Amino acid sequence: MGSANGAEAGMWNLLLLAALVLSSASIYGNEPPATHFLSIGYGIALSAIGLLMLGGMLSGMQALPSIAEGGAAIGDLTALEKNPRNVIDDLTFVGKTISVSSRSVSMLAAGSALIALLGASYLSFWANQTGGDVPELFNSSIFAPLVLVGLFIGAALPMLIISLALAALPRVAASIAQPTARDPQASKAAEAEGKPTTEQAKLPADATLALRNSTSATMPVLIVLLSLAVAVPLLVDFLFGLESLGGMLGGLVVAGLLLALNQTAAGSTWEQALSYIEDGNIGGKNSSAHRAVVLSAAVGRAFQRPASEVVIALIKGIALISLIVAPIIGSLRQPGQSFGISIGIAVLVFLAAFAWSVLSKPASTGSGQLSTKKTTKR
Amino acid sequence: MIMEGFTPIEANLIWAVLLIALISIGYGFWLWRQVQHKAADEIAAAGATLVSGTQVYLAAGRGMLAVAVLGGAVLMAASALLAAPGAAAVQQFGSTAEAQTWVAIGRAGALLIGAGSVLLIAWLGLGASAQANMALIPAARKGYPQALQVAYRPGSSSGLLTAGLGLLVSTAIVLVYGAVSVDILLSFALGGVLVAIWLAVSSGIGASAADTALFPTDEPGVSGSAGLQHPVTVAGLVQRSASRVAAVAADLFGTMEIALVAALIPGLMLADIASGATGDGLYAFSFVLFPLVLRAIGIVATIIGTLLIRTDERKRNARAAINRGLYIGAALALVAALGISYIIVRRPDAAVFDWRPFCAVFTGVVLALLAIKISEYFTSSSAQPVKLVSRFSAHGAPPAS
Repeated sequence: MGSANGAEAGMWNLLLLAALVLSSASIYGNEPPATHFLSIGYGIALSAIGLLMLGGMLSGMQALPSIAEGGAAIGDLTALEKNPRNVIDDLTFVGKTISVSSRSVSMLAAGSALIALLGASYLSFWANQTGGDVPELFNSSIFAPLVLVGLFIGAALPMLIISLALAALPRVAASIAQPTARDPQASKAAEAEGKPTTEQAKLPADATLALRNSTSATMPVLIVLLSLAVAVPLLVDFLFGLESLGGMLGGLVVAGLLLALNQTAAGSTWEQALSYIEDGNIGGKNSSAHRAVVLSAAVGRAFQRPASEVVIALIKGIALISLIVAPIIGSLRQPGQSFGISIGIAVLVFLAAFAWSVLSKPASTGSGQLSTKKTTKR
Repeated sequence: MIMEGFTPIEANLIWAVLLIALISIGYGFWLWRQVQHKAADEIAAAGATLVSGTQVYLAAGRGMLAVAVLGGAVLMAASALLAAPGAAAVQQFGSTAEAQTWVAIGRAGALLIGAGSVLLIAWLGLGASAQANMALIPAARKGYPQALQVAYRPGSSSGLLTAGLGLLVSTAIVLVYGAVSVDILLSFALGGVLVAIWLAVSSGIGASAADTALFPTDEPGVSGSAGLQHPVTVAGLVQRSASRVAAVAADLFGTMEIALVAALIPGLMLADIASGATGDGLYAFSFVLFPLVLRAIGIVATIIGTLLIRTDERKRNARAAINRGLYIGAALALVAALGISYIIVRRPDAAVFDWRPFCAVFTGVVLALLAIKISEYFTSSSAQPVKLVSRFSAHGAPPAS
């Protein structure tokens, strides 16, 4: 779950960067060609300065927990009373979240400042080479604003995919365990009603039901992922154009591969560590090392299979769909069309997606409670 | 040259920017004084290890850092002497040879000044943080609001010192070097970033390593106990405050300078285009002035926002207090940015108010608040995600992926 949250938070932050570039691109949308890209670069840099306007406050926020922790350590030595002790503990606890949230702003600011710097340098280098003209070719270079927007959307996608895949795990797990543990009647009914094929006949009825339930429990995730795979390339191409779609695919492949490779290796290492300890090394079974590694191995298994495989499969799917979609959208769009209205739509989509992501949380809470109950019964 | 042809308003704004930078340094230093723990009591005795630990930490890597910074300065000077100077530099300094010399001196000097300022800020910040560790005890005895003040001030102090020093030196560089200032500012930023890398690597890895070393194990001889008598705990605390105070300030410094340079590169080109023919040495100064003024506005808003971080004994809500400071600070910054941009930012073609730079700033400020909200949602214990993870952890490992 922690990793699913991390991926989702990462996705939102990447989308914020995309929004930042996009807003400069639309603010300076009507600039004449000679100063078009220069102005957009200037706008992105100003946004980066805006992100850091309250930089002094951000650094105060980040320091908070470390001051409190040090104070707590001194408090241990000087026999601090209960009430001041509680004050310091609360500051440590709240300080940690406050610190993380300000750190993410610093990271976003660093990202946007770097894009602006590199894009501007690239542009000025190019302008020097060509004697002041900014050729239209810049439009499809990697620092062109719309390509950058696509790039960030593409890099955010694997994060979204992995967070969806991982967030579905507990629900599917609950659906497997449910019939066998809580509903003996249902499994008997299934046995009575079922006309077992040769394969099913070898399985006990409970297992058949568990398998059937868990497979059908994964279907909602499948529907969401597939509609994402179709909708995102369509939207990106329709709203921001072909350059953006190219950028999106680039970001998707690089970020997706990075994520999948990282998770496969990390996951496999954790799993192997479990077997190594269970073989009797470092204390063997039931040592504290074993207790620690069991958790890592469970995470590792989730990382390897659902996470990395789903990401790789979807990268391929999205790439193929993009190639099919691109010419269709291209034929619909008038050349030189301004994307003012499109941005309105994009903002709406962004907000709707955010609302959806927040609203869909209670559903998974429900399944969480279910599976907790189930385990306590066992 | 860029220095000529200021309007009176622009000249006054430059003075205001320099003054605000100095105020920021002064206020940062005042905050630094506020967290000093002066009494020589049992608390001071207990915290002595932390205070001396910060000195040991800074001394431990200085050889490596000196090599990196001095080597960087030499390379910077060499890079200016080897490459042909740009047309703007020749225009400004008269001849090719003179342009090369001045840029070389500027680059090496700026790198040293950048590294020096960040080191100074890191040293002050680490000291303040060790002192605040001690000062937190009497403050917590007085009450929650006082403790929040003490815990918040060291980072705020180093943040304001960073913003003030960075703005002071960058404005000076822009005034002296004019159209060539991008070259010099890049080197200034690099100096800070070199120290930031050093701080981040040593304190970031060091602090986590201390945590790992303290993790309870079955091995005999390695105790999982924490406490200031344990050397690993001391090392961990010192390095954690280095990573959360000093490295954060250094990171802030680097990002602020990079953002400024990123605005100046297109800003200078736009300024050149907006005033007369391209390459004639005439610039519309407002493109260059606006980013500097923005940073000054940010400093004022930060000081006001910091003053507003207050809570009372009944509420005991640090997050609400900080959020209030942030929101009011952001609102003030936006109002001020709108006002200033109304005064100095004009469309080059029609001499009417150009609202677009302000819109870009607006986006940045709003996105900063949004980013804070998003990570608050994902990491705060009062929102869904953390509760979910905790709930799953209640029944053992498997679904807790």
